[in-house]
Amino acid sequence: MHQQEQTPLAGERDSTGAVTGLLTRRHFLQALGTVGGAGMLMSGLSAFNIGIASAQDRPPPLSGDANGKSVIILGAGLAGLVAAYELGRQGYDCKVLEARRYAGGRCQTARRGFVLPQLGQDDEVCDFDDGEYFNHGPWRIPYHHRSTLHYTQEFGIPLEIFVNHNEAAFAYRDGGGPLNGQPVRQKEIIADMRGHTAEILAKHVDQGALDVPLSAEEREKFLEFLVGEGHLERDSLDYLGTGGRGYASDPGAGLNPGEPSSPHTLAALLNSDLFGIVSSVSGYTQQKTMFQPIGGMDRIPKAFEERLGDAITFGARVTQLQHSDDGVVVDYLDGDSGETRQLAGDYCLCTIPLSVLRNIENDFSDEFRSAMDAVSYTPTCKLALQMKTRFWEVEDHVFGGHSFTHNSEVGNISYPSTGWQGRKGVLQGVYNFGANAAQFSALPRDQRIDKALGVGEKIHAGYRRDFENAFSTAWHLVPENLGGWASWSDEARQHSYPLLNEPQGRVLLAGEHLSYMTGWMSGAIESSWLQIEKLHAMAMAS
Amino acid sequence: MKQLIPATVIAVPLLMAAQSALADGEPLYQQNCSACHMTDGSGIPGAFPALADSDFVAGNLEELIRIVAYGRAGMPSFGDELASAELAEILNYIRDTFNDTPSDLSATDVEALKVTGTAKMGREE
Ligand SMILES: Cc1cc2nc3c(=O)[nH]c(=O)nc-3n(C[C@H](O)[C@H](O)[C@H](O)COP(=O)(O)OP(=O)(O)OC[C@H]3O[C@@H](n4cnc5c(N)ncnc54)[C@H](O)[C@@H]3O)c2cc1C
Repeated sequence: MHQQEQTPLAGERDSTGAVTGLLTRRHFLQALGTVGGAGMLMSGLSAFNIGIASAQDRPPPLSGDANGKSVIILGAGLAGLVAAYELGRQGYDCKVLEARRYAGGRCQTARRGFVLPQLGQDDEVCDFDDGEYFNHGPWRIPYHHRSTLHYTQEFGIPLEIFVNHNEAAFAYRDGGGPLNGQPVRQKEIIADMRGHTAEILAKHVDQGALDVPLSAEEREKFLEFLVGEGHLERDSLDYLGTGGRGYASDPGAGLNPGEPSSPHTLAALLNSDLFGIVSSVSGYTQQKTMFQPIGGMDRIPKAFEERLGDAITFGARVTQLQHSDDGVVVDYLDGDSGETRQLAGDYCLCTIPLSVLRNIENDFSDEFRSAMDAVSYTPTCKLALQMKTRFWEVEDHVFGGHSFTHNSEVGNISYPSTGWQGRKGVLQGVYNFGANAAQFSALPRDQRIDKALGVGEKIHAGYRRDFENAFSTAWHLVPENLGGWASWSDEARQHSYPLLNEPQGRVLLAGEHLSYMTGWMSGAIESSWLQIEKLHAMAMAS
Repeated sequence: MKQLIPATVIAVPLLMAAQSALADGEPLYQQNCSACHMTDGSGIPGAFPALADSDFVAGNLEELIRIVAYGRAGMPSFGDELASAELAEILNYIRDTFNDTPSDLSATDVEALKVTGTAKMGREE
C-alpha cells in the first residue's frame, strides 16, 4: 500500500475529556484491540488507511518522466479510464481499446433510447420518458469509498444523497405468521424488536438474574442504556410502544394530540420472521451516508471521457493479446470497418473482466491462465419499472430506501433517491443474485415483469395500476461482462489471485476482480492505481 | 462415485431410478442453466460452452460436480444455492440427454465433493 502518510493519530480523549496526546499507530491499534475487540480494531485500521475499507484516497504519485512510452489499455471501464487518465498525465502515450460505443463499462445509465444487447435475448431498449433514468449497474457510493469520491470531487461531479435506509418503507413476507401477507412498516419492526429485547434484558438486570458480573454503577448505566434503547417505561421497564414506530393517527393542530400505536407482540414478530430486517443495513458498505451523482452514475465515466479526448477507440473488440520482452501486440476487430487491426505498444494494462478475457486468444503462461480460470462470476439481474405516478411518495409516504420483500426470486424494491415529488418515477423492482438471477433471466421478458409486479402489488396498491414500461438487465448475459462481479473462493484467493496481480511480461491486469472490493467501483479504481504504479516502476527500470 | 459402471450393464431397477431423476432433471436444467447454456445445451460460442456433445460433460464426473458446485472460469457456483440432489439430477440430465452418457449421480456423490470454499456469491461486505 503506497503513499500513506504515517500520521500519528491525535490521541483519544481520556475519561475526563482531556486529549491524551499523540499515540503511535501500533499503540493505538493495540489499545483498540483490547478495548473494543475485533470490530473496533477493524474500524481503527481504516482510520489509518490500512484496513479493509477503500484503503486509498489518492492515485499513486508517479515520479520520473515516461518519455512518451506507449501503453495500450484494454477496456474503458473505470479501471481503464483511471489508468489512461493518470498515466496520460505522467507523459505516457495511452491508447484505450473499448468494445462498446461508450465509456464506463459496467458504470452505465439507461435513458430513453439506450440499447443493451444481452446474449440469447432481444436487445433491451430503454423506453423511459425523457428525464427519467436508471442505474442498472452501480447505483450507490458509500461515504468511505474515498477513491470513487476522489474522482467525483476532482471532476466536480455534483452528488446527491442516496437513501439506503428508510424506516417508513415496508417489510413483506408471505407465510403463516400473524404479520405475514401484509406490508409492515420497517419502523414498527425495528422499534418493537428493540423494545421487546430491551425489556427482557432490563428486567433480568433489574432482578439480578443476568449472569454477567456488573458493579452497581455499571448496572445502573446499563439499565439507563436499555431504557433509552428500547423506549421503556422508567419504573416498570415495560415496553409499551414509542412514537418512533409511528402513530395510529398522527398528532395535529388544535385539540388533536394524535393517537399512539400499539406494538406488535414479540411472538408475532418472531413467528412472522420479520426480525431480520433490523440489522439489514448495518454492514460496513451499507451504512449512511451514501451518494449518487445527480443525473446518473455514468456522469463519472463521461467526465473521464471528456478529459481523455481521442485516446479511446470505441467499437474496438480485442481478439488477441501477445507479448514479448520488448513490447505488446493487440489484435482487435474494428466495429466500423469490420476489419481486424493491430496495435503495438511498450506496455499493456488489461481491464477486461476475467470471464471475458479467458475467451480471448493470449500467450499468457499456463499457470497464469489456470489462475484466471479459478474465478467465478456472480449472475445478477436488475429490472426497472417506470411508473406513471409516484404513488409510493404520494399514497404511501415512502421517500427513497428499500422495501424488503423476502422474495429472493425478485429481491427488494428500491425507490428513487431523486426527482422527489415529481410526476413519474423509476423504481428498481428487481435486484437478485446467483441461482435466482440465473432463473430469472431464463424467463420470457413479460413473465419477468409480471413477477416483479406480482411482488410489488402486495405492498403498494398502485404498483400494477401505474406500471408503464420496464428495463431488464441480466449482467451474466451482457457480452462484455458475462457476470455481475468476480466471486473468489477462499482457495482461489489464496492460490490463484496473487499471481494475477503480477505482470505477465509487459502486461498487467486490473479491475474490480483484482481487489477485495469486488462489485464496487472503488475496487476497480484502486486496482488500477495499484497496477499503474507497478507498470510505471517497470517502465522506469527499463 | 457410484456411476462407474458402463451404461450397458446397468440393471433395470437402476435404469428406472435414473429415469425418475431425469424427470426432474429437465425442468431443473431449463430453470437454472438454460439462460446461458441454451435450452438445447448448445451454449453461446465465445461466451458459454456447449454442454451438448461435450467431452467435458461426458467425461470425469468429479470435475463436473466440482464446476457446478464451486464455479470456475466465470461459471457461477451453485453449490450453496441448489440442493445436492438437484445438482445431481441436472448433471444426469445433461449427460444423458445431451451426450448419450447416462449416469446415476445422487445427492451423496455431490455431497462428497462439496467441501468448504464455495465461491461467495455476494460481494465483499
Ligand atoms: C448490478 C451491479 C450493481 C453494482 N452496484 C455498485 C454500487 O452500487 N456501487 C459501486 O461502487 N459499484 C457497484 N457495482 C460494481 C461496479 O460497477 C464495478 O466494480 C466496476 O464498474 C467495474 O469496473 P472495471 O473497470 O473493473 O470493469 P468494467 O466496467 O466491466 O470494464 C471493463 C471494460 O472492458 C470492456 N471490454 C470487454 N471485452 C472487451 C474486448 N474484447 N475488447 C475491448 N474491450 C472489452 C468492456 O466493454 C468494459 O468497458 C455494481 C455492479 C453491478 C453489475
